[in-house]
Amino acid sequence: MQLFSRIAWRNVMRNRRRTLITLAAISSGLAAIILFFGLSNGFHDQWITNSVRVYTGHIVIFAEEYRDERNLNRKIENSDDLIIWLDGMPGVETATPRIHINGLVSTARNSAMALVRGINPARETRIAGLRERIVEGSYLDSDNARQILIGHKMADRLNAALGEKIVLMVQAADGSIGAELFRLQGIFRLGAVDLDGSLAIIGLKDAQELAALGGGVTEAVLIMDSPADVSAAAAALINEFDRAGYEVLTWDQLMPQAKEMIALSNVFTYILLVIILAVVSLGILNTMLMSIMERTREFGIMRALGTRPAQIVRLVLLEAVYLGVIGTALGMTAGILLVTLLAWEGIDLSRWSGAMDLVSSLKPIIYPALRPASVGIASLAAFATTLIAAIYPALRAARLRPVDAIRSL
Amino acid sequence: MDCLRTENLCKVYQSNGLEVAALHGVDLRVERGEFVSIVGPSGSGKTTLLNLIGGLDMPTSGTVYVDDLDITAMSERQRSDLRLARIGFVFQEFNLIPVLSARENVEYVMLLQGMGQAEASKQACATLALVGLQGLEERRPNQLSGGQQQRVAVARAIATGPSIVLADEPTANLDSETGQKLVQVMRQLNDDLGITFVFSTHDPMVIDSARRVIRMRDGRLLGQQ
Repeated sequence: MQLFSRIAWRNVMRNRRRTLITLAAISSGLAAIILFFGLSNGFHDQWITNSVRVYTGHIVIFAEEYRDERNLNRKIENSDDLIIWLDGMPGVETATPRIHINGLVSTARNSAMALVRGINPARETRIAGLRERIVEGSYLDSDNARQILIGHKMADRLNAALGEKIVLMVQAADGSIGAELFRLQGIFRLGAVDLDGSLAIIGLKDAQELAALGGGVTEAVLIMDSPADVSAAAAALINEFDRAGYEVLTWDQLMPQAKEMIALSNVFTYILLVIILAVVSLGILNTMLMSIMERTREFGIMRALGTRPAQIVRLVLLEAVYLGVIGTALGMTAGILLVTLLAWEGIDLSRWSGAMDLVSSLKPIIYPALRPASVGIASLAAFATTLIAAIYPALRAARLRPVDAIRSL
Repeated sequence: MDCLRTENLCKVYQSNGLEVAALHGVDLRVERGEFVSIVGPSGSGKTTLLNLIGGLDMPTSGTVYVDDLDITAMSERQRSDLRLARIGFVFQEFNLIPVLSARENVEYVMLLQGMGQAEASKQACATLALVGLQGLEERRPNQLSGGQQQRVAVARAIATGPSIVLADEPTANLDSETGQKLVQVMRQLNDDLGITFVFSTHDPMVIDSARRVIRMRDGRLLGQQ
């Protein structure tokens, strides 16, 4: 072991209580940061997953130019074949066809604007868990049963009761006004304020008939097994469909505001990281300064013997390196364990589920998520903080005049 | 040949806005192989003189030559290197690095000089044997008596083969018998190896063992015996 490494290590082990306090500061700070990163990542994952399943899907395929004016004549033909083909793609959890049309929902007494979604009931429930989100009544029996599902907020607004007749009116693809009579089969609660107040769900065939779409649909929705597969799958689909008159978009292109909110949330996470590390660095600075003050005479002797100021700086920084390495290792272990344990059961936020509604969360349970990059960034930051906090004490030790230092007792 | 020379050395301290002169134009010459005692009451300027000779402090005016090198014209780093190569120090107490054993304390200066670990260990053990500490090489300072600690300090001071060893009241915190033994060790090293010692003291027994005694009072050299 090199001379100064040996002295530094023994100095670290010299006052064990102080070393333990310093290590506790570094490791608990780092563990807290890793936990917060985990919670933040878990929250984002949950949010994205829920939003993706309720709103858009991971990847959506539209007919070219459909999105410009919601032109129903720009539809996907032969959707059955397409869905079967998409289902067979590697990494795809579920593919489902959807039809979206703006329309008017009316009971005998009230009416409201609605986003009408035509779905394949069997496939759709695998995506959004719709069957489980029915709070009154039941799920659609089939895709042509003239049944309708509406959100609880819309039900309140329409003052509609189960089994009641509801008229749906839309502008069809051929320019005519399509109007059909439906029975209110169920009332759902997705947990997304906008959708619970505006979404009306009917069977796919009913929607095709209502909007004169023939066998066409407005979009094909894909949910991937892992969000990490989305980019590669989207690229493959673009390659496959670009020349065939289809447009392939991913969830973050369809919901740019969600991506921006995550970016904003990450900024707050980093601000918190800086605050925690600032507090930790003050603790380290304090204990290292105490340690330097106690050893003033020792540094004086070392300087008198011919130790250069730069070698004193090296010695003190090496002590910080040892503290940093051990503290970071302990903090990383504690943080990973904490996140893993909490991810096992999840953190139930149902008490604040009202707030969760605003961010369209289906399940008010957050599962903290470990990301190697987050753990790496936090650990590097904690280690660097320890070193930075030691710079001032190191310079102070190096600047001691031997004659003054030796005199001090 | 002089290994140490001071010319018109003055040191003035500032204390609460007042100037306190600690040394008034001290001229001193020490030849290689001398065993010199600087004697005087507390506050006479002994420690200040040793600090200036050792390059631990800078004079207000005057010059200090060690081996004909003007240390007052050197940078901080050059003075560090000069101390390492040419000057050995023994202080009154708490001389040693507490986390290092006796052997490691002696090795320290040799390793700083760039010597290999194995060679430094061998020489450190040999030097500790010279001061009568064989068998105690691996003890830490807190496992050694005050006299033993001072001997380790002497071993460290001579380990790099310095031109001069400066000792500031090395026996001040030792009982008379231990102090006497320490001085005997230093004297022996001076006799056998020709190592130059300059030490301050006001212990009559230590003064008697010196070959040359320089008396100081109020920052001035009074005379020599």
